Amino acid sequence: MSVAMQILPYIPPSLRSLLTPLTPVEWQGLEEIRLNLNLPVSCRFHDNEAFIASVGGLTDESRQAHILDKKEMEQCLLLLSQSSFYALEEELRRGYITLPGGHRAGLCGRAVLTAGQVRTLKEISAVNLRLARQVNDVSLSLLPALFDKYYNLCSTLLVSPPRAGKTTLLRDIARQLACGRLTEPLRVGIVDERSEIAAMRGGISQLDLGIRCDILDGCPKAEGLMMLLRSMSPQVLICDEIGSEADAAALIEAANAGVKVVASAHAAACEELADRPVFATLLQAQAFQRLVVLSRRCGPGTVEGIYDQNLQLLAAGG
Amino acid sequence: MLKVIGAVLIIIASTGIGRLFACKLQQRQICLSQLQQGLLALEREVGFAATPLPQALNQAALAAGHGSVVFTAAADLLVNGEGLSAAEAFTQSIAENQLAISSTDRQILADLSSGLGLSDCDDQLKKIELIRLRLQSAESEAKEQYASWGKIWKNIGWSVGAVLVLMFI
Repeated sequence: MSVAMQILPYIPPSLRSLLTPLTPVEWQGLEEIRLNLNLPVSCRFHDNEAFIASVGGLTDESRQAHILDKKEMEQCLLLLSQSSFYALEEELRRGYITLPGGHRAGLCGRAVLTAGQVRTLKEISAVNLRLARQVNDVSLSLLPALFDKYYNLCSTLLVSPPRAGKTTLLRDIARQLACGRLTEPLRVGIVDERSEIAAMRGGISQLDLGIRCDILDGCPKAEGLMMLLRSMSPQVLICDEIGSEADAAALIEAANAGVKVVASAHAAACEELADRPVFATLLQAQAFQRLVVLSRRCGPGTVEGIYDQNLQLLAAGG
Repeated sequence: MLKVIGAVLIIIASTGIGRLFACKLQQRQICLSQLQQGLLALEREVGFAATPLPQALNQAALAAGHGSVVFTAAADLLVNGEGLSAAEAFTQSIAENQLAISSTDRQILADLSSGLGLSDCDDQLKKIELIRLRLQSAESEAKEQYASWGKIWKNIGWSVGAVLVLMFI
């Protein structure tokens, strides 16, 4: 099923017809559809941004763009939630909804707090539909650098700002390791807290992850890592977007249990990571032997540099 | 001979009409009971599994017997992707589908639709339970109605037939 077929059912009917003139090439390059209340509807592509014209198709002029009204925003939320807000309490608390196919709808609105913690969002004012794509073999050029001289996999942290292709790369690394592309096949355990890596639906991964992946879907990373470690005897553990102290503790535990970890985190450079307490702990514990810094300089997934556990540059990218 | 056959036919027809009216009363009672079963299943799906409404309504339909059509039609309207709210889908489904219930019972079901799916789990459960209890009381009323009027309709049926036969003879 094409990305358009997957994402259009979640877009208000009045807006769907305006997206119909988009060509397959435009759909191919589309990364985000941003719906902001009373503002022009915009699309972000690999290297540019355009608005949805009120007569259909794309335009560079915001004055000619379709303005999203309240009814359309409500329809979008009903479609995203299947008219079941009660089923999305956890998602609303986190601020995003994962859609079939691994796509994600990010939400902004007014936060409702209970005891200082976000309980839910209301008065939703913005929806960002981020389209996920599987790009097979995208990690092939990077993969050899993730092994040491004895062909043992090194625990690796992929570092980049948002939209630089971390999840796509992580997914392909999982697939390559499970398929044994460079070495013997490894048993891979994936903690897919946001259902973005494997896009599980009804217990079946909708994206190709090879034949040796155990996927723990929707589970918090810290708990999931321990569960997989104890129950599925993985050789490699994979998780996306680590950031909490609990995640760090679980990763150190896994690293000390003889299991390799491949994870990702938000940061623009290794120095930024080192300034954050959670990652400082991880770096101090030498939980990762490789740090790969990514950017969008030459498109998503551009490798800016590969570092060792002491943050010494092993290979410059570009 | 023809007179006898005619008399028998009149009595059979009038008895049938009487039974039909009695049966309608009984069907209302059964339908209300089955709708409550459907709402119970809906409560379970929402409360225990936080199942999204389209799937939860389909599960409710499995338990709702003759009332299932309301739940499945609402679920279909929700999944066809036209951006209908659950309230709109449920109201449309009640309006479009024939059920053996009174207009008052329909209004109770219609009350369920307002705000359906648009609040947290606790609120949804309270709302569904309230509607179920109202249907329960409507069912008790239907039961009493059937107990008193069901027999009357059956007896009126054959006795009107008998009177007509006597008049024609």
